[in-house]
Amino acid sequence: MKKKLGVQFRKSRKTTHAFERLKYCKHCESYTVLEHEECDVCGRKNSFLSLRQLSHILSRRHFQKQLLILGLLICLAILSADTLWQLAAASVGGVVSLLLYALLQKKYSIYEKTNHFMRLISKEHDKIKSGLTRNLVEVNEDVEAERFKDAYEKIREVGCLFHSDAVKVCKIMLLNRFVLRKDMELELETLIPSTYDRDFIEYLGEVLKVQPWLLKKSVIDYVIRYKGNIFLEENGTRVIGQVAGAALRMKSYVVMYQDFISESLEYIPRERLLRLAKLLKANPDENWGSLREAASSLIETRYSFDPDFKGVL
Amino acid sequence: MLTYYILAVILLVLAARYVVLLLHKRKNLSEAEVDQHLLTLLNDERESYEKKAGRPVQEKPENHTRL
Ligand SMILES: [Zn+2]
Repeated sequence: MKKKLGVQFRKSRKTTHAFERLKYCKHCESYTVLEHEECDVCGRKNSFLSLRQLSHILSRRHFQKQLLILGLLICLAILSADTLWQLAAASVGGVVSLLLYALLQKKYSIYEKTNHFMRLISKEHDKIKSGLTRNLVEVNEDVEAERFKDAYEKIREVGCLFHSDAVKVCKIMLLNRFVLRKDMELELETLIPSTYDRDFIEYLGEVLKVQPWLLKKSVIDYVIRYKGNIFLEENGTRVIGQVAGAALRMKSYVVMYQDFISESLEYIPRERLLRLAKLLKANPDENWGSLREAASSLIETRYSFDPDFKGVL
Repeated sequence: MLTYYILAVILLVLAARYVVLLLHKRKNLSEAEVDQHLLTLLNDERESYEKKAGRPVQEKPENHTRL
């Protein structure tokens, strides 16, 4: 068994949208999600713009270009005036049109900016992809140099934008190299692969020991889908018991997954079974189906002499 | 006379600008939609991108960590 590393991950930036993690180098026009101070392509320092900033600059340029065209047309109108009356009309028309343009801009530019942003994303997504792929190469180099912590911190950033199985599996592999702790910034739902992955199950078992609150519906659904495969693993029954035990944290999960919990009762740790028994007792009117009978019969056969279980169910 | 034609062109430019801005307003895109669009673009074509590259881009770290 490989030795696990004790590490302290750097805090990951919290962002509302994934695109906020992307940085654009204004010198070489490349993209990255890694937290380097200098661009890894051209080596320049402080050359990064956020995608939002880039989009605003492009919108401003678009606005300036249109303003220039309008200004030129107004100048042309003034210059081509043959009479004083035409000169006055051109001047007044020019001022009014500039005012109208400014008014339109003020009122609607916010909608235009978002549209420009959307267009920018469509235009730049290939470049963004190659930037992320370049970042993954760096992750690869870190893994080869056994800088696993750096590799994970980097792939965690890339994983916010790339959701492929390969990225998830690589993250799981790296996470399985670390000693997991309660105070760590860990993930679970974002790692669920689209097919069965034994390393994910190994990670699931480890992460639930320290952060059972990471268990969500999608994880339980995955475990139910691949229950047969999990049972074949060395620690399969323990993981099933942990998942069923962690599902007891939420009453809604117990209601929703009562069949799964009922089938996994014998693998649930004692303390979780006690919690289930208390939950069933506190909610006698809920339709528990076979869960109540299964729990009582297990308690009777296994914990009949345990004082904690006396009179609970 | 040319002055009036140019003023008419200016008016047309402004009208066109108004229509374009109104269309943008009707679309009323949010940043969340932009983000979703980016994620779709990055992830939907992933398979074909990997095929083009001849291998999954991060195949190496995966194999390495499996050792
Ligand atoms: Zn650069």
